[in-house]
Amino acid sequence: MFLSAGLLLAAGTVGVLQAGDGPAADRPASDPLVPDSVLALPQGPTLVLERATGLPVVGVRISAPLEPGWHGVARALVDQALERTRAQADALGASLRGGLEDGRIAYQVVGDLRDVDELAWIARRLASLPADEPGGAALAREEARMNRLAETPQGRLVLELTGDGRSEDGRRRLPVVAPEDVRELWRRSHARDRLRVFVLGDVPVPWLLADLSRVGAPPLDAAPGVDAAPPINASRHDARSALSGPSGPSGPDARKYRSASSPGTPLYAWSAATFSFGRAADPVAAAATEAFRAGLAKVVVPGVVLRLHASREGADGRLGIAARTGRAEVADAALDAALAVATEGGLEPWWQRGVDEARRQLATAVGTPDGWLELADRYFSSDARDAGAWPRGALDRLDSLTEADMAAALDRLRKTLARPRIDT
Amino acid sequence: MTRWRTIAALATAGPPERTSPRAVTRWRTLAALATVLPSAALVTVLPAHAGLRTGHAGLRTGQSGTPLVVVEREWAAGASAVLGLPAATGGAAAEQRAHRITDRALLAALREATVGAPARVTLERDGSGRYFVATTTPDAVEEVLRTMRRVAASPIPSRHLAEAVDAVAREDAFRVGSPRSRFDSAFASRPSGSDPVGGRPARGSRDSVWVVVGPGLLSSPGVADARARGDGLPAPSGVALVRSNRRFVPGEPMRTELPADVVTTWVGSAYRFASATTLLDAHFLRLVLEGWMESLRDPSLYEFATEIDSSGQLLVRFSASREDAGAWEARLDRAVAAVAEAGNAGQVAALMRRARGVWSRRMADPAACARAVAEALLRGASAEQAKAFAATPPVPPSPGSVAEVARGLSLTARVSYGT
Repeated sequence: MFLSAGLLLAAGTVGVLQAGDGPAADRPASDPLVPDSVLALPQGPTLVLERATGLPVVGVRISAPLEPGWHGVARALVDQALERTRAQADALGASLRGGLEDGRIAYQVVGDLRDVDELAWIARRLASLPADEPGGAALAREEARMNRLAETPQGRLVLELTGDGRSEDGRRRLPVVAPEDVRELWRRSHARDRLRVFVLGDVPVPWLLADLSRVGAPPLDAAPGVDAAPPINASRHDARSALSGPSGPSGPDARKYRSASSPGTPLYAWSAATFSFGRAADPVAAAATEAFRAGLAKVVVPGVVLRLHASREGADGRLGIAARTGRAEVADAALDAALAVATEGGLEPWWQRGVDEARRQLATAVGTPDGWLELADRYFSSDARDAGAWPRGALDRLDSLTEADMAAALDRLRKTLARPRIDT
Repeated sequence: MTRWRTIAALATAGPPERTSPRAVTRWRTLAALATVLPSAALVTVLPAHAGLRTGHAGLRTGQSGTPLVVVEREWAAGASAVLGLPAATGGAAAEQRAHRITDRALLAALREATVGAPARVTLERDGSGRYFVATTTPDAVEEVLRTMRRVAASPIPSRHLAEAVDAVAREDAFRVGSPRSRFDSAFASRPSGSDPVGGRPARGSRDSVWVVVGPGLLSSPGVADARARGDGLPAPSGVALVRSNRRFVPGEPMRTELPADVVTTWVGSAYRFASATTLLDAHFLRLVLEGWMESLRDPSLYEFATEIDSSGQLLVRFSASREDAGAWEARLDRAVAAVAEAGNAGQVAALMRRARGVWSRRMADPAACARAVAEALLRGASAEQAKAFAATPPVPPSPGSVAEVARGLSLTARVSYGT
């Protein structure tokens, strides 16, 4: 109660933005695709509340920024968090999920509204300090996962997309996921002032402040000697540079790499490309991806298997495409033909279909509590009145796309196109 | 057109003697359809695009008397419209296949008609019914509902039927003969103690139902019109939604063992509820039982699933390693007995909390909520009963009443495949 009252007093200094007034006042105040409140707490998380009257459940999502090149460590961190909360969520019949989405480390729990306090407790535990794990099961699972990926060409393409691993002298090397890395990543990414907390349900703001304003690690500026994290769109090289330096002997610069087995495939030749139509949170990129997928379905090269990989983990919206066949030159030609759907054909024949599909995906996903939380995070803005943000802004954007938007997406593809080797 | 004339001729003239196996498969499928449809319809109706209305129970929709139940939600970022049809259980294999073909063709027609709308249409089946579920936005739900009703009331385009015939043939080529498929067939045609079970819909059940869930629907002129035209739900006499046959006398359950050289053993159990068990009580018992078995789970249990079929029986299926299947049978029996036992009230109360969470999450999804309302309607509930069944927040039964329902369960049949 003391905590609650103190926080209520503190709320007087909090930036509380209510949707429905200001520049986007033409929106109905009850629009469920725009949150009711966005609260920016000093030294604390950004709290986003959608007051859903009559909804029988409450959903809580906590997300933290994901630094490029740290996917493996982040997965182990999430794995540990899910392990330590699974039994509590099962006992409540609550859904529990966690993972890397759109360049963020995200946890989500949804359960009966009457269990709201227990659900908040589970959410706090999800974002809490990872304990020393006996046996290191999560670390072992992540190491095994990366080993499996490194063993196949398609897996190596996934590693390229997420930035896990690197090549040195023609040999593939994977990062060692150490317990100190997991704690270091938690300290940096889960710093309270870097977290976003989303709540969907019929709960009042005071409850939100009392139960979910002190999640995660202490704020970064409360820990002297720690740099601010690099911007999320920094290149991997920049990210490593920024992460190294004054972070101490247990910091990211101390990460070790190990050799990985990456056998060739004698029977097949592979050709691959990675590219982006735009950031994961850009509706234009979503439409272009679906248009490209539709166009790709029409590309038939005898004896060649073409597969599109859309990793949802990063913020940069990178896609990968792989061609497999018996001869290297045929694989390269098939990949060229596939890319020509966008680079030469210009996506025009499939553009409207892509827009429709992207709109359908967004509109149908946002109707469930889990989908609402995920999409509110993807299209987040620090301003609840931002007309271009939130699921509503994304839907409006999809409704108004023009061919000029398509041209911009194609331009981004040309600028980001790379042809990594995945044969070995 | 030409293609269908050819196929229709094939179906009526007999199997092709020198043609591809695929053509023979298609002929068999069409011959199966001919057992459901009048043969004249196959020859004349299909080429004329008149559809399979006579062979598809529930496609008499969009006409007067079709029930439309509107469930208003105060807050909803999504909306849903559902067409529910009775489960296609029982009947000859040919009839089952005809249902699968027409369902698939209708799904394709619904998807085609809603292209461009922010909607996704899916087909979901379980022991209680077949559900065409449109997930959409509150803004678009009225238009999507109107489109679905129009499509369902029209003949299915023959190209969709042709594609469905091919797709079902392909599906069967992979599925028929698999151990899982053989188990499913054996379980569906299980014998029972004193009367036949399975395939008999509950009394008061309906041919088809329509449900729409979303915010602001009651004030929507389009939905109001549809309700005015077709909201003529007959009220059943009682509130018991899981119905039992009065002639049923609990006896020794029929046990069927089907030896097979497989590494996995499948076991299916059918339980009859006591008379006057409500559908909500039955579902909560199902969820409690699932929770109990989940708490015992180890790697030797591969799958565990429960459902309530169209005749109101609780079906429990699981697969396990061959060595451990017997032990899991015994655990299931002990779990049913334990839920019924008064001494386990604390444990049942804890599992009820879990069940409440699972049920609330289901009802929070407009599509799942609409489907639940449709299920209750298909079982003969009135509109108000069906809405109460899917109420939010749900009002779960007490742990005591769930234990009471467990005490009323009678095992009627058990089929074990791979023993």
